[in-house]
Amino acid sequence: MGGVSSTVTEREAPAPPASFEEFFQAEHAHLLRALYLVTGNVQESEELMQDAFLALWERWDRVAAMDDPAGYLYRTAMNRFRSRLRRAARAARKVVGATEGGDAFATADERDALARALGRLPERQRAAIVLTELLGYGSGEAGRILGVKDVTVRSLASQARSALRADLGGPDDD
Amino acid sequence: MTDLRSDLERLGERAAPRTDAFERLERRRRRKERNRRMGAAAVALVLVLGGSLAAYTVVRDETPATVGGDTIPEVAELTCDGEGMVSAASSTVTAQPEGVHLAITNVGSTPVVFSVVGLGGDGVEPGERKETVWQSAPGELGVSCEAEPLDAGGAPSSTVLTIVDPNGYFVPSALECASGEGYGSAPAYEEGATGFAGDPVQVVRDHVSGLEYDMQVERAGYPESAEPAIRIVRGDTVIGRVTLFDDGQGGWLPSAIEGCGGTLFGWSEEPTGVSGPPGPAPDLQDLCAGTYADEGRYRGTDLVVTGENIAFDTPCLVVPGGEPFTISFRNLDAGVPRNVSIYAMEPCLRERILLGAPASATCSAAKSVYEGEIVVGAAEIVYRVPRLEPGEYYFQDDVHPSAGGVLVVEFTP
Repeated sequence: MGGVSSTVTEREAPAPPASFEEFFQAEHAHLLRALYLVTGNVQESEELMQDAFLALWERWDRVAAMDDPAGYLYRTAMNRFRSRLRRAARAARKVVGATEGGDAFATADERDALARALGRLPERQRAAIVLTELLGYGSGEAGRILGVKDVTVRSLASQARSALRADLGGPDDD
Repeated sequence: MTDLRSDLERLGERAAPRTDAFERLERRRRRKERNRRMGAAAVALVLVLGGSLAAYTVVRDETPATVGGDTIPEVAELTCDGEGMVSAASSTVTAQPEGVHLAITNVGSTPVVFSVVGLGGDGVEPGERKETVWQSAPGELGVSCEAEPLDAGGAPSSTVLTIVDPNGYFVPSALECASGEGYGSAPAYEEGATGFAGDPVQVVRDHVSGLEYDMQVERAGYPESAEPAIRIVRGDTVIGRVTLFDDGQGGWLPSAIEGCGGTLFGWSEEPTGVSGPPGPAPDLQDLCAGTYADEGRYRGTDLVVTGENIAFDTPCLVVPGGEPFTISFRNLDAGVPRNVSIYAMEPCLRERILLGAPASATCSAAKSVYEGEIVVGAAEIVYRVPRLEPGEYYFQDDVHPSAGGVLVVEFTP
């Protein structure tokens, strides 16, 4: 595994989906992979993916009419992810008195440098880098998805890239 | 140098989608729908047991009108005789903009009392025809009749009417609580209490606390009802309902305020703002779950807050509305000046607490509600805070603004 470079491609708005099932088939693999990168856990990412799609299905008439249903899908998924994090943090505090970083990435695959480096990132940095680098969202849309300002997204993504570079030994290319 | 995007894509491929992913989603949706129906039934049951008149409307909202036609009468004509027998000229009635009209004629020689199941009733004198209007959802409605005195024995006679709504007047307002848990309150008023004039929807927008930026406030029930029902909707889900009544002087007062778990709707004499960030809805229920589960230090009128390592030991405090309360603040940071102050909630403050925005983020225009005296640790001080209107507030250490949380002032009738 080498260093880290930034290759951001703005995500293009897809054509409006004809049906919820068509939308699901078009998006679910992308969302699942993104959630896996954010959570580091396959099972959790599947549950979050289902939660998000279910939420959209229940209001599909309105979602389908949106300019970017996929953006709304990712926003919903990230909301659920944050809710789970808060619950997990509280549970951890109750048990051990302090939040421990119990992330599947950290132990999932010791051979994979990127997985371990991702696992060491704070969740928000990880989400920011996945949205901007992998999914190609601009910082404005990524900010709406994460519920933070676009400048915060840029900061989080920059911090994530710096941390990954430090971990993976790449050049400074900001 | 490798490309980060390619690396991420390769790593992400470890999460391979299942071939039956959509079928699994469909199964889960069916399970959720079933659970939701059971949850709605549970809410209705709780309200029925509590004696709320609203209970039946919760149940009834589940029954949509299925019959149309313009030959159906606009007023259901029923007769009661002196023996308490009731009969209807037509078993179907058309809903009107103000509700469902029932006319009861007492053809007997003794007074009778009629009851509209779950909603109420009235007395009718011999020879009298009494027309009344009811806020019943389309569907079936039971009406019974009983001769006075009511304790004379004998079961009342009853009939079932079918309400149809071909014009679509009725807008459902039944709570659709995802958790199956709801709450309701019915404020008591002094004689001569006055409300607020104007459009009932606007009155609710202005005076119901706990509204958030992504909640829609809409007229529900029948559009010209004398007792307007206003529903609060998030997305497509009804999460709250406020029923108003006329104070006799042109103002509106709430007769009932209901909400789903996780909301905190209350009534405020002072106009309230809508809270929340211009982004995804934060989960206040999550943040305050521990506080609600525990009646101890963080909830009630005698709060105990500990400050240590430039932080507070709780992100959420809950106090009852309409009562002063105390905060015993224990500053354990030796040699460090700290305090607890309270501010009106602002979207950016909420974002700071709930979404983990950077502590350096500045939140302007925060209105101070209570300023606690600064104490140098280790020390303890008791703040005596005057009563606050129901709603959300923000508490923080003014010396270290990164330490803060939400203060919820509950609605207490």
